[in-house]
Amino acid sequence: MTVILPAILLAAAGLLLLLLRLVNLKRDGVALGVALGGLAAAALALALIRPPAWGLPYFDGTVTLDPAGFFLQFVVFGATALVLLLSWDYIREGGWGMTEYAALLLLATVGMVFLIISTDFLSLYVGLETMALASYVLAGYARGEGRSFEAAMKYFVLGAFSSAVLLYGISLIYGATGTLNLIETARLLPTPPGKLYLAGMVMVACGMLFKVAAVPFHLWTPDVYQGAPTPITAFFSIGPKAAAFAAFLRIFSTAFGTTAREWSILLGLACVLTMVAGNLMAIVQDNVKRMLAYSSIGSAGFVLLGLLAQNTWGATGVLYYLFAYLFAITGAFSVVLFLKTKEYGGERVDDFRGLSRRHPWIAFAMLVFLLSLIGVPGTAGFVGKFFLFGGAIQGGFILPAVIGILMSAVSAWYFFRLVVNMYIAPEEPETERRGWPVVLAVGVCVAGTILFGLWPMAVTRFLLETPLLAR
Amino acid sequence: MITATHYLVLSACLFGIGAVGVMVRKNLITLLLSIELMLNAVNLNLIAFSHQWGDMLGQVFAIFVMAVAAGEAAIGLGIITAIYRNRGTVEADQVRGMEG
Repeated sequence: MTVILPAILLAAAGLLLLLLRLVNLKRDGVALGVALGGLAAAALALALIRPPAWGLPYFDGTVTLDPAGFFLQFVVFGATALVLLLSWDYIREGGWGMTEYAALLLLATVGMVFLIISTDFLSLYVGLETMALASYVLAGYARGEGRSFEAAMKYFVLGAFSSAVLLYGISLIYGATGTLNLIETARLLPTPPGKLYLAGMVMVACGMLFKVAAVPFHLWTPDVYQGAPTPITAFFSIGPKAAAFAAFLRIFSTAFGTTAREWSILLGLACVLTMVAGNLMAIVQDNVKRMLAYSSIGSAGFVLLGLLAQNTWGATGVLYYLFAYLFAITGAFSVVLFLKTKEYGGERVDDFRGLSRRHPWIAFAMLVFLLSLIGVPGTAGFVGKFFLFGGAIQGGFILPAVIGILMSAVSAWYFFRLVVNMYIAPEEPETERRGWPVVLAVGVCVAGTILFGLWPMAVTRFLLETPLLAR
Repeated sequence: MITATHYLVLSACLFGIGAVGVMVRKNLITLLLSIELMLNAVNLNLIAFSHQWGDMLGQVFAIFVMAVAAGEAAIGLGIITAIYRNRGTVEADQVRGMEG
């Protein structure tokens, strides 16, 4: 009961918001307050639960609380809270109403929590779909904007398709082992792995690669990221992705851990292709949302490197990189939102011209986020990449690690186009003034990026001292 | 004697038809139907294996899949309705507005 208390509190807050909508109490401020209150209560409950030991099975072995799950739940709570702050101006200007929007975000977060803590294919699938169904609606939330509907449609069709592929894989794994539990699966896997298991494993891998937007299953990402409302794009690039990576890590290193030799070729190939294609495609983009979308494809490749490594450093790198990514990518999208004007303004690379003279602090914040995305020492992104590349080299994946470092250099190239525009290019007309929530979100992201870049021990001590995943 | 293998072949056929449908058809309603076909192939697998292993969990899973599929259909049709109102068509290739 106590393990899922955060999820229960979030679901209660989400349902309360729907109830408020029902009794026609549609004040945006009330909705924001309830949603942030629900998230704070959930985070507090999570911080106060101290299980007797990490990784004990609860609810007949369907969920567990291990250090990885504990940590990533905070990451997704942080993502949802930041996205709620970013959405304030955007949703109010569009007149779309905060109440249902906040409810959908909270319910998606409930799904993410279950995706993170599940040790059973059934609860994992239900968590995944709870998250996905809310996300499809959120992608189309900008009612009346054609491209938002288009994004919702693409996300829906490809999301549902990938869920079906994943499910088919799960059903084959069930056929091979006779169990749906991830930890039992590891024990019951036939040795040597039979055809049924191998086919299932490949389909599960394809389904999960779809969910984390890795090459060759990334084609939906740029359109969905560009078309969805910008706060939701920020949400997609960290929340569902972090949760999907948690499940990915759990399935492949816990359940399929004994057959690492079979799947590491498959995932290694996907990892290298993702890093290369994502970062190279980002170079030619003129729309900042699309550029960040391709860069987030590239980042998924970096995270896959940690998954491939199959060691403590790799797993720590996955968690720390996602944590650092939370601040960097949400921050970058909040700057895009800060610059937003009518008719999709603020989205082109040229819209960043002369930003350092108009808003020196915002330009500085964007610089910090971009440096963290590149992985420059002193930022949180560097520590994440340090563990990812270090883990990969320890695990014997030298070539993918070298390609990853080269691709980080490529990312510096396209991000510096933005920096040059901000600091060197001549000035452009003034933007509108923004409310405090966006500025607060930018501030939190800058503080997080610098603090956890200079003082990573605050988090890494916790991550390195205990086995991260329940076995 | 019908064994799990027979069901596996049938479900693989169903899944294949559904997957090809998603890839080649352009009508959004047909896409939704194809996805439902894929999910039903999964259900067939789960129930066949549940019978083979003498384990109820597979059948429970199939019921969950049906429930989620119903939710998915509701949201999918909602999105398709919104697109029809906005663009006046449900053909996927006429909806595209963004590059790429």
